Amino acid sequence: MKNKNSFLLALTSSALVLPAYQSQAATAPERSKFSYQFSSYQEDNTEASKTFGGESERYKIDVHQFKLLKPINDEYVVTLDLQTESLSGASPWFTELNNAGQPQLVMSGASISESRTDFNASIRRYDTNNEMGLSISNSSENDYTSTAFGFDGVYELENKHTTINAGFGISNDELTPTQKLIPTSVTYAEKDTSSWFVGVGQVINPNMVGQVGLSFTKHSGYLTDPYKKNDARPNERVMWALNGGIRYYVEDYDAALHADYRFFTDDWGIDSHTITVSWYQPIFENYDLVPTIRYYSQSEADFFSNSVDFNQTYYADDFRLSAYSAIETGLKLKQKFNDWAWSASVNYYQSQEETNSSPGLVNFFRYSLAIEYSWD
Amino acid sequence: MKQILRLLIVLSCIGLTACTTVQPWERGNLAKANMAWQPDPLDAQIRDHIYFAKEASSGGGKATGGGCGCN
Amino acid sequence: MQLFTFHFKAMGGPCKVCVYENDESIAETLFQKAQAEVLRLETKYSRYLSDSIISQINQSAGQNDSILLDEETAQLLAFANTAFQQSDGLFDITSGVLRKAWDFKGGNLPTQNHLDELLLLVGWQKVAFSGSHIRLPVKGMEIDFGGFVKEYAADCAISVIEKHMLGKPVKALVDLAGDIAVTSFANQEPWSVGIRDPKSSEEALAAIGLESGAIASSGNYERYIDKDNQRYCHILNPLTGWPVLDGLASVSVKAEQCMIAGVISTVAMLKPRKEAEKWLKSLGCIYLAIDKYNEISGTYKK
Repeated sequence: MKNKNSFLLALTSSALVLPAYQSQAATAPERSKFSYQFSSYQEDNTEASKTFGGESERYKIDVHQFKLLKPINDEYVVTLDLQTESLSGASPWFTELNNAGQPQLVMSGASISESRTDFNASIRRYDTNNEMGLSISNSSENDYTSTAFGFDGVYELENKHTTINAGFGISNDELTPTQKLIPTSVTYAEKDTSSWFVGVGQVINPNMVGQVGLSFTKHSGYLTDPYKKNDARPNERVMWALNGGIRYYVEDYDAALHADYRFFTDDWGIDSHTITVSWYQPIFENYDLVPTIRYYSQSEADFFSNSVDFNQTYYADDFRLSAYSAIETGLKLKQKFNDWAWSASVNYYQSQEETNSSPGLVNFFRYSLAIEYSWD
Repeated sequence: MKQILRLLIVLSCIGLTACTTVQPWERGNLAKANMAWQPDPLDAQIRDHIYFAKEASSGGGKATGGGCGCN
Repeated sequence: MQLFTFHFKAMGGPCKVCVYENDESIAETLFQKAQAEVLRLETKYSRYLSDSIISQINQSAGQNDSILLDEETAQLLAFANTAFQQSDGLFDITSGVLRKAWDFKGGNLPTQNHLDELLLLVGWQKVAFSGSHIRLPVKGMEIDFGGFVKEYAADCAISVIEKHMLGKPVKALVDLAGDIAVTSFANQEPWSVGIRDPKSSEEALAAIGLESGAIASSGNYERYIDKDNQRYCHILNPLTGWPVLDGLASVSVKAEQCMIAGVISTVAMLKPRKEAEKWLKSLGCIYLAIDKYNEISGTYKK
């Protein structure tokens, strides 16, 4: 008798040519789907001891996301995304050392109120061993517009275990900084971005798939933050990111473990590590409970300082270019029934100081509610 | 930090495990909804947007899209 | 969600289609389509209808012409060919003629002479099968799809149900006289399939949970002769003409396709008990085996 693999493999390969066994689950989605998510994002107030003038509020943002996915025929699927957000609050203007030599935040005085709308349209083509997608998007707010274009492809090798994916995107941004609230000398500036990605996906065993990838991004143009007093950045920034992840099915719990790691480095001297782990646990009949934990740590930019030296060509005291680490924890509950699905989630992001950190590190809380409807 | 090191070791050990051939009749578990690379696209979108606005890093996993004036 | 059950007769036995649906008219439509598909295959591969493709092939045995095959028949014969090779000849669709020597109703064992005569007409390796044409070289040779068409029909019935639902998940089951296939569905209670006690037609000895794939069973209780404390059942070894004497009483196999589960269960019934269990284990599929003392073994989970 032939060995196990040969027996079942031979019979299955032989049977699969019959139409009855060709599952119509090609990779293309067959049903239309509309989803909506509302999110409320709230940053913790700044620490009193770290802020000039005492504790200050920071940003509060409400976000509405709409997505419509519609198959046109067996091959093509169109997706339309709309995101609108409204923001209010104060943000750090600059950092200065107080009498004791400790860095303190000076917040922008007024509480600003802004809104942004982001629209994306994409079309995707599905074939037996490959997929291709094209997308355009536009983001606009009163002081910033960004227009982007992207293309990506996925190709499945004959062994049906390995996929290769690659993509590229370009965008052109225009800044017209608001002159009134925060003193800024810039009235118009541009920024261009180009980005490339290549990755390999692999079916590792009946319960695990993995993916590794490399991405390259270049920003050029005006990269300085016009609303920060102590900010002068290079005209170029080159960034690399290496990512790897697995999705692992845990039979005993009927659960899926998602783990991802990303290493990032750029020519401004910043390196970062990101580890994200989620556990998708089915509970009761049709609910899923998903706890998530994310660890992030970054080093400071070469030109970052809490007390900037204007004699340098480049300088910044923006907390986002400072060294720090952060842990985010989240919990999501989802339910699926017939053509509907909903989910509710909460997340808390907590920053931790490292050497020479900015006093402006952010903590935030986000809750989100989403609903989804599918139809033929 | 110790936990992260442990997780990294686990991740790299999984990577070094010999990949077995998965037969068509064995693909059932990989097709489950929770095993999709990204089961919650709207959530992934807003997370990526928040991290882009609040952290120095961006990208990884795909070519980056358009920007915004978020700061 | 309501459970709708429809009964009908086909393939020589009682059949049923079970559907969980809110809308009764949809359940009705699914049943009509499933039943139509089963009847289509019953007619197409019938040994008795003189104009069926099987009869055409058998009637031209020993003649010079090859019969041109339609795509479905050609693909099924290719499958039978693969099963023949993979089972080292134990699964053989030319072995049907051996029934002429076995008088199960009368209760008499065949003579070795009679079997030897018939064995000259048995052997898939003798058949001229090109992939698109087939020719039986000796007059009296026959091919018979009876050993796997019922299981194939169960798979086809499920396939038409799933295709009609256009990818929308549905929980449905097709049972053709004990060969069962189900649609794939998640997040719901699996179907519980009772495995019949070989010694009693009413009792179930164990149950296998099914939320995808299929179960096919073979047993020594359908047609048999009991003589001198031995059971001679209708599952015959194509190489010897005899059934195995110290084999299993019944075996049920779970696989992704009912047709493949059927081949596995048939081949397992032709091996001595210990060898059969060792082989089933080595395949890695879920199975439930019952021996002649009603001992249950296997890798099934309830």
